[in-house]
Amino acid sequence: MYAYIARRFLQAIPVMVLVATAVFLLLRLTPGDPTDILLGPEATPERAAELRRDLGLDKPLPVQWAVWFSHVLRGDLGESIFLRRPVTQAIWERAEPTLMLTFLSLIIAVMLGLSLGIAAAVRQGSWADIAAMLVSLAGISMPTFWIGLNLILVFAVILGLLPVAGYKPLSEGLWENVRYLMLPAVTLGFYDAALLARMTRSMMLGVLKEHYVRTARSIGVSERRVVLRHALRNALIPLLTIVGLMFAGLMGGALVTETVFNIPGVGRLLIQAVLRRDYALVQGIVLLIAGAYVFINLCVDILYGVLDPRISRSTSPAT
Amino acid sequence: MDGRDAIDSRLRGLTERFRSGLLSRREFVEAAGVFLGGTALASLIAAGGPLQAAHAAAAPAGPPKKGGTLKVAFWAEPGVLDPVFTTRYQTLDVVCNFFEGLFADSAKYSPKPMLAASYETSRDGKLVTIGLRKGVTFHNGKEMTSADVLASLKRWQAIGANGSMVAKRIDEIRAKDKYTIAVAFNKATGLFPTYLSLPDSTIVPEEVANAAGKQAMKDLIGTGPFKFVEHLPDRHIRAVRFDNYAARTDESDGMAGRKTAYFDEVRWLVANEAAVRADGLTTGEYDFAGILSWSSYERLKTDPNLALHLTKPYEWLAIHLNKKQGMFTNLKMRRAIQKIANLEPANRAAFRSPEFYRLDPGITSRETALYSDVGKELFNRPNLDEAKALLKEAGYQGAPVVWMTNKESQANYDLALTFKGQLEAAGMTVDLQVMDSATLRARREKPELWNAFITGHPAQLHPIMHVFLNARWPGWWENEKKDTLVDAILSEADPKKAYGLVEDLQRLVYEDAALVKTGEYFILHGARKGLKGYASMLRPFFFNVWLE
Repeated sequence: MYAYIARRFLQAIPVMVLVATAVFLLLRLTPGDPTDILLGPEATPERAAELRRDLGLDKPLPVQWAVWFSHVLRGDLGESIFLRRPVTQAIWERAEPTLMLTFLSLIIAVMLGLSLGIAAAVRQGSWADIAAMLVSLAGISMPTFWIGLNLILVFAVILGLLPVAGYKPLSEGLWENVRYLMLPAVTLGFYDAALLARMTRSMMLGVLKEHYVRTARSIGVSERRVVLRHALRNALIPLLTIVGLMFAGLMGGALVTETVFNIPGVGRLLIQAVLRRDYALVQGIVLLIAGAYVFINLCVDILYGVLDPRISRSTSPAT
Repeated sequence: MDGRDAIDSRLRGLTERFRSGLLSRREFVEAAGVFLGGTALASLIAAGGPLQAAHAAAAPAGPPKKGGTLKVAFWAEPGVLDPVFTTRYQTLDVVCNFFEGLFADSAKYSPKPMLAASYETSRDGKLVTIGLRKGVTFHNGKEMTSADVLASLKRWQAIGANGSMVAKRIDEIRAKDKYTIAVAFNKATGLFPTYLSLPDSTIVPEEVANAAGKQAMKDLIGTGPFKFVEHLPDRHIRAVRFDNYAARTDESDGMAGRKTAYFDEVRWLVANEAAVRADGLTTGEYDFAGILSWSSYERLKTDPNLALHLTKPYEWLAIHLNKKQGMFTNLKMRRAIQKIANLEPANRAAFRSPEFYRLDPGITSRETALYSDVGKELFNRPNLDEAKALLKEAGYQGAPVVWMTNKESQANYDLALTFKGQLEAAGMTVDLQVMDSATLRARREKPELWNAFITGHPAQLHPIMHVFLNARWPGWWENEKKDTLVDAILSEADPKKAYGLVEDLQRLVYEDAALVKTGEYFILHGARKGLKGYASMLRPFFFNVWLE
């Protein structure tokens, strides 16, 4: 087990180096100059050149890369050019909104997605199946920004039940925090719930036709137990991959939702950093997201073994 | 946002009818569902809707009320909060509440003493003596003296966008005594008070200025009526009332004169989306919302709880032509663009309603003392025949005009698109290149890459402070007469003579077609009706403002 985890970590290193280098090069090849944005529209060309020198942006690309990478190896992601603070601090300050939004969205996605998927599979062909699949089709088809804007319109502007946008940190109370995150979490969770519902239905339909399910039914096991204990557990393995990827995606992928709902999270930070050509910050966030993907995939692989002991831990599990 | 606005107003009507019992729950849900499902249709309906010409006027204010927290929906994260280091509007809009300079803008955008008590000029205009107000304390409790002013102005000369321009004329700045400084110039500089009223001439404690040097200040300590407390990027900026603020005794006049902080706290909450700012203002989450979408005007003005404010003057826009390389090095080609540009349809496309723009030849706005309309015969006088004749004389062979624009500013894109059509109608070809603004700013530095782009200039600014006068700025306007005029205006202390020179400069801008001004536009701010005393100047400041 430990050897397997160690090997997976070692495999992750070249992936991270590749990601870091690709992001570095892509950013530098994109036109635009962070000093121009930082100094504002009236800045003189001389002042911009001076600041470029101060920030080391006038050095050749390989030198810039080497300097940055040597810092990364020491755990230093550098300083945000625009925010004038360490990249790790800038990300840390936005970690709470993103993590809270991710957890809430995931809870909504899993609860709604699994329920709809199971209900549709168990009552295949019935009105419940059709209704559940219509809901999931709508969830997949509608863009998140459109759902978000309409939720704001109904629940915040017209009914005044929830705040329009913004974020209240946990330090101001869990209820306030959840109240502000309710609409964005539903917006974000709805899309993933729709995806999960379709996947769950399809997995469950496959599993429900297995011999061991028929055997369980024939020996008088209750339908509830058959579905939840025998069928769902076996259907969960591929679903776990989806949920893992969803989690990693939500960590840095809630770009649109965070923008529409004005949540100061990592997703919005990434968009702003790209627009401001804040090189160090974009590189830091992308590295973090890549790291999260690698880590969560590793966790999912380990969980496979827990759910299905037949999967050998001594060899690389199927992904 | 047209569609959304239309849906909003219809749904608000439905909700009111539902609440008052005129609609059953079922009827309400059905009707609301129709609107929510019909965004595209609603967009079409709203796009054709007429806009009215008047904005909500504030009700007469009662006596000012002290206390409370003002929540401001702010349109973008400012990043650095140092007005010497950066000229970003986002920064200046916030820090004008906690920093002050020796001079400040009056309501007419002319300089009036702020931290300065007196200002004397020698007979030859080369020596200026500035007396400082006594008893002015910084937010850290220290009294302001000439040492602080000296250190601040040295930093201003080194890195300030305007300070570094005027620095070439300054031989020495020295402290004569604790409350007096003397500035020796190598040339008379009558315009010095104007420079000292600009945000980059902010006065901070000596130790703060010295510690910052050429970097951004870490400690934000000023003398203003609000004191900086906290900045959480992309979330909020907080400032509280500075109880030891040393207010001037003369009448309030724009950003000058007596200032009073009525709020206990001002909180700028960063909200990048205009729709979020407008919705938050409607629901009362914000007391003030900056830069609202022009298309939300119709909806917001019907809300009895809101007052809308147009910031007038704000910016004027111009087509900048590449005078260093390519077809527009030829004056006839530039004059042809002047003759092609039909500004009314272009501005209507960009700003929707005449309320939000003005077609005016001035390179400084009507609301300032230096406004002039010279050059009007070359402004907005479209004539296709003359344009075609000029193109023929210039030997134009149909080469595409590389025109850079971006969609981050929808107005910029809409203007460019309209002008593209107008140029093509005159027989020109246009290669409209859409890119993000960071890319555009990088590309415009390279003369081989473009022929034209549009950008804005502060409309209240003194004419010689516009960046396009700098021959190194993209557009590269090199003209000896221009340089002579700029130098003369800088030196001139007599307002009447200076005005005449400004008119000469403006005439030259048109005659040499240094740029093609497309018009002036105004931005829309919104506030809760109870917000009183708001001045609607370029910078949204919150001293002398209170909530009833």
